[in-house]
Amino acid sequence: MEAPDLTLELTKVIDETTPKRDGTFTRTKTYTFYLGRFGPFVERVPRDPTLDESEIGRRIEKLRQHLLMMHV
Amino acid sequence: MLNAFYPVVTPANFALARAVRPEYFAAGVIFGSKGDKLRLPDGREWDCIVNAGLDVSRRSWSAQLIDPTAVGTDDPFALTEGPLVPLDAEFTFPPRDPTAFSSLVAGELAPLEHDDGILAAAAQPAVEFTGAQDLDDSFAREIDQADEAHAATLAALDADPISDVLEASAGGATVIETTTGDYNEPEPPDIPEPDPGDGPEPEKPPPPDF
Repeated sequence: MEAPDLTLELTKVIDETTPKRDGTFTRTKTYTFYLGRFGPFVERVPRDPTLDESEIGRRIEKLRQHLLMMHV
Repeated sequence: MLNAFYPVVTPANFALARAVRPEYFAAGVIFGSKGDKLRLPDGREWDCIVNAGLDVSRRSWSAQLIDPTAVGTDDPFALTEGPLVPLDAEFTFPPRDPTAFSSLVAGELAPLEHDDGILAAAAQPAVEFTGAQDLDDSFAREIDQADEAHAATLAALDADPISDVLEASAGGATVIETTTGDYNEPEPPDIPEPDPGDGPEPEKPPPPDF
C-alpha cells in the first residue's frame, strides 16, 4: 500500500504568553500545521529559558511515525 | 496525538494531554469513574481508553463513540422486550363520558339479577342451626344451678339483720386505740458514726522525665 502524503504545511506560527494563576507567565511558540491531509495539529514549544528550535521537528517526526503506523 | 506523545496509557496522561494540548480535545470534559471518557459540548461522549480497568500493558488509546441507543447485535445477554413501554407524551385522555360509569355499573349488576335464590341458599345454614336444644340443656345444667345458688346467698344475707353487724363492729374501737394516747415509749439509742479510717493512699507524683 502506498504511503500517505505527509508533507508539512505550516499555517500559523505565533509567540504566546499565557499568565498563570500564580502570577508567572508561560511563554511558548505555537505551531499550527498539517501533515498532508491530517491536521490541524497545534504544538506549543516552551520558550523559557530558551527556545529549542529542534523540538518542533522532533514532535512532527513523532506524529509522522504515528500516522505511518496507522496507515500500515 | 496521544499515541505519538503519550505511549503510557493512563488516565493521568489523558488528563495531562487535555491540559497541555487542549486544541485536540474540542473543549471536551474528561469524566467517568476512571477518568477515561470525554464529553464534548454537543453532548457526545467518547471512550478514549480501551480496557481502562485492566493492567497498563493491556490498555490502549482509542476514540469510541458511546451511543446509548445502540443495540448490540451479538449481545448474548440482550434483554427481551418487557410489557412496559415508555409513556407517550403526545397522548391526551379523551373527554369524560358521564354515561360511562352508569353503563359500567349496570353491566356489572346485570349478571346478579334473578340471583336471590343463591343468597337465600347461602343464608339457609344459619337458619337451620340444630344446636338450640343442646344450648338449652347446657343452660339448664350450668346457669340455672348457679342462679339458684346466687339467690340463696342473697336470701341468707337478707336474713342477717344489719344491726347485729353494726354492734359487732362497734366494739372494735375499744380494743385497738391508735389516736387518743401520746407516744410514751423510750427513744432508741443513737447509732454511733462509723470510723472512716485512714482513707485511700494519696496518689504519687509521676516519675521525672530524663
